[in-house]
Amino acid sequence: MGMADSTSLGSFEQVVLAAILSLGEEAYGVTVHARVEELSRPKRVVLGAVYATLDRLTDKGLVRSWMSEPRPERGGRSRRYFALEPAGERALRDAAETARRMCNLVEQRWGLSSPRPAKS
Amino acid sequence: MAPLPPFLVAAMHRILPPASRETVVGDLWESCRTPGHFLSQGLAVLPFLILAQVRRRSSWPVLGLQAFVLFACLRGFVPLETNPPMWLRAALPTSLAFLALAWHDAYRAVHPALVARRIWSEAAAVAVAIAFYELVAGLLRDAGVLSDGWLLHPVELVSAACSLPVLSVLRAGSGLLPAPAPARRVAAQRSGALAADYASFRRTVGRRNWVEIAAMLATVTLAGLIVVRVPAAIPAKIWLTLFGFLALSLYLLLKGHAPAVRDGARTDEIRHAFRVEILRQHRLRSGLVWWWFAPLFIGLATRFLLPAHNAPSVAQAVAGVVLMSLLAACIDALNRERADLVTARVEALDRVDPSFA
Repeated sequence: MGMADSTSLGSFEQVVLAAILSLGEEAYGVTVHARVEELSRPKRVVLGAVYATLDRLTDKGLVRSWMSEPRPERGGRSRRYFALEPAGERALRDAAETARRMCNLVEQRWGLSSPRPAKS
Repeated sequence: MAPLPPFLVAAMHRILPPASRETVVGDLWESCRTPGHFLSQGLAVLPFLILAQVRRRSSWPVLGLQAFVLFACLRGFVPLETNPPMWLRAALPTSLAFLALAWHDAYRAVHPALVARRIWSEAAAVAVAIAFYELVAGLLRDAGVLSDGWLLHPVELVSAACSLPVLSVLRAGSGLLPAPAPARRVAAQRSGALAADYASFRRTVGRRNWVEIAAMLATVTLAGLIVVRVPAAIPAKIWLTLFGFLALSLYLLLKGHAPAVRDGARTDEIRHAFRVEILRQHRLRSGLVWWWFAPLFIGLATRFLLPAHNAPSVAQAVAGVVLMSLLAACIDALNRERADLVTARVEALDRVDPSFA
């Protein structure tokens, strides 16, 4: 296993990156939170945790952000949009590969879509 | 959504850290269905936003050094057997001041404030934290919960006031060479912008030198006033470092400034002068930080490793070594933090195209 570096991702960071990727040009606080909740079901996700993670991913250079023009439906306030940087895309691809390998392993062991056998 | 009362929006705007206000209030406005939902969601995100801003904007080495200075000034390192222990009584206001400074970082204006304004506001944050401790300790004493020993001694209050210039210089000095913002890098590549950038750097260096000189002279003056009142309060070894402050003040006055470049200098000349001066200022500041802490190193060695009247116990010696190592690690981390900013700045200079001259 490689050493942790600035692009090593926690599981929640992976979900947030995946949400940004899936939202394309419509990724801002409200939509990212909604998509992260969808991906994390049945777990509830706190909006503050999404903001903190977005800031951390920006600091790591995995995500870039920019402000929109002020919008009337937000009381004249701007949206902060997010997009993946090339390093973020690479990190997400690596994480997805790892997840796929893990998934294959679990399916081989327990069978496709079957729940973990209960202990008797 | 039901219309939001303007006072609620204004209050939420006020309590959120400035760096996130615009977008978070907008997001809440867009996603919340009722004023109650708006309020509860806003309060729920607040701790996350504060912690994120503290993580992003606080310098842990600076906060650590500030805690050291304040703890020492509140006599936390004095190994007297008292009730309550000296270290515990000093640790409480120091912890409050630490939190106040971290809080101050989270709520600092997005655009850098003037150095002097920042120094005053940070000194005020520390003063409020200590005053708050005194107030609570006083109330608990009056209620019979705590003994008189928990209140700070007037000497400690004066000494904490003495520490404020050092604390503030550490904070202001830590931002000596801000990392170049992308817009700034682009601007620096345009004709004439590099010269303007260097002129701004010279002004910043000049201002910081004056702040540092004033803080050094204030420290020496206050130490002198304390000695007039209590002649044995400051050991002779510490006086040597205080005289060092006078010598360094003189050096900063005569040689600390960044020299001007001649009129009509070419871009590569300005770039060379800029690079040389950034590196020189970095070396100068790195040395100054070590010197600022020389009295504390001497004090720790005297208290823990070389006590005057008896040999130190093993526990005392270990505590002394650990504290001095921790202090050295904080200073080194602070200097490395600045070195990273210097490297970024020099790399940005190297990208300046000389053909724009």
